[in-house]
Amino acid sequence: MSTRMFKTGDKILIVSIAAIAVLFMAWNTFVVSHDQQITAVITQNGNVIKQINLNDLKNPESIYINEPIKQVIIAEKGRIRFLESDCPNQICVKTGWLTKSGDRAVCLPSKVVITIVGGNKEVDSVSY
Amino acid sequence: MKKYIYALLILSLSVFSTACNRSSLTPVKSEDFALGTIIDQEVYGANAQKASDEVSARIKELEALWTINSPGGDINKLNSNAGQGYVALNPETISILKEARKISDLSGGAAFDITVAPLVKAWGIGTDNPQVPADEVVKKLVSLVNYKDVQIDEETNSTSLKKEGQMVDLGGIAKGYIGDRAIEIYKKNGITSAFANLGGNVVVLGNKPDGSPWKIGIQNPRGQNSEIVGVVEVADKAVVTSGDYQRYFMKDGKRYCHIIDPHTGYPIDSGLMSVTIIAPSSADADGLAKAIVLGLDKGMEIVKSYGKAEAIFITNDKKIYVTPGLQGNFHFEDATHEYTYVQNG
Repeated sequence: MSTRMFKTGDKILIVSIAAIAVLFMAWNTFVVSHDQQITAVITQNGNVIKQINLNDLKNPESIYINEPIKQVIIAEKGRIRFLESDCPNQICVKTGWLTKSGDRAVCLPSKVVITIVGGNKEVDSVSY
Repeated sequence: MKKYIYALLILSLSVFSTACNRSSLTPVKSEDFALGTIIDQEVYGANAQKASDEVSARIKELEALWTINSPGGDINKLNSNAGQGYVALNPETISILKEARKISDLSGGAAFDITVAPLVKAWGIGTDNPQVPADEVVKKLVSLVNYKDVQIDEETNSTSLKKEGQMVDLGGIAKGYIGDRAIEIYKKNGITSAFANLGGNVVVLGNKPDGSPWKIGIQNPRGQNSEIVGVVEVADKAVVTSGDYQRYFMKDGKRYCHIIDPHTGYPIDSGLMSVTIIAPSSADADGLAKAIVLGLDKGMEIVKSYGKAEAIFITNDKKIYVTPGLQGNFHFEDATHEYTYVQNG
């Protein structure tokens, strides 16, 4: 009875729809696992100068900013910070390590910003 | 029977595929440096790029018009003509000056007064050369502070400062006012979902694209990099904070913050570390956040008298008070375990 209910064409259709559904699930799963990754985005004057996946990082990596002032940024597995800066107030250096999505260090004099993106962001923006 | 199975399959397919819409919900994000701070935008929709660019450009125009040090700017013109009659100004400048007066009227100038500028200059907090001016200097400059001396002639779009030596500084309201203009620009471009964060002054348009409200964190006044003490969920609102931690300097073990009490001429010492205002207008929220000058009780009164705002007050002893209307919407999240949330306070 059940074999007679579906013709061959029907079966092909059912199987292909099921296959597509499985692919979507797999894709979603991939995207979700991708969301757990945290990436440091370094911008200067609003333009991205470097992106570093902090989960994948094996060895510490230094990023040197030369203009308009000299700065050193250091990235390690799971964290990143301004290590040194020639700016007057040192606000960027004092911000310390950034470790989770949404963390941010800003240097107004050099217009360099480090922001951690990805993972589960707790808030959309912060009022300060 | 077969029809139902197909219907079920197609339904399940559509459910799985909704996740794909994420790609079409990618926002236009931008980072600008203006108004002495960093400005972030996150804009959704077909005209997002255009709207975001327009906002960036408008911010820079208004900054040039209003920065106290900008030669040829309106505020510079107004200040340099103090005591010498009316000067014609841009209608947008007239509009922000009227807004400033409205906010000052709420406290009779006790919390917010744009003519506090001579004192801001004398203290220089936030500049490279902050200093503690002599008491007699402070006393003399306080006598120049009076927001009612900003006389506005709307017919000719002109303004005067009554006395020589008087000065206006829009630093306490410009970011808020510009936030409202940003929302206007988004709307004009058909945007229904966006936020702009102007150096901590947040304005949100609509809800997030998924229909849920925007989650805005409230800065821990003694915390580091984006450490928060709680979250509010908002749509079509401004969330503006004034804090004693934004700019300050230390001298002889004493902390001097950048907010000057217009009546004493000294940096505030009101028992509050921060005041956050949530209101439909960002300019009003910015002005009202200066309730930090007044302390907890009087500050709360001002917010109540304004009527359309909710607020979060954080005291020096790390107690958090919120207005009754906000108690269901303030999510206390203090990872440091240093703060106390005083409910029904």
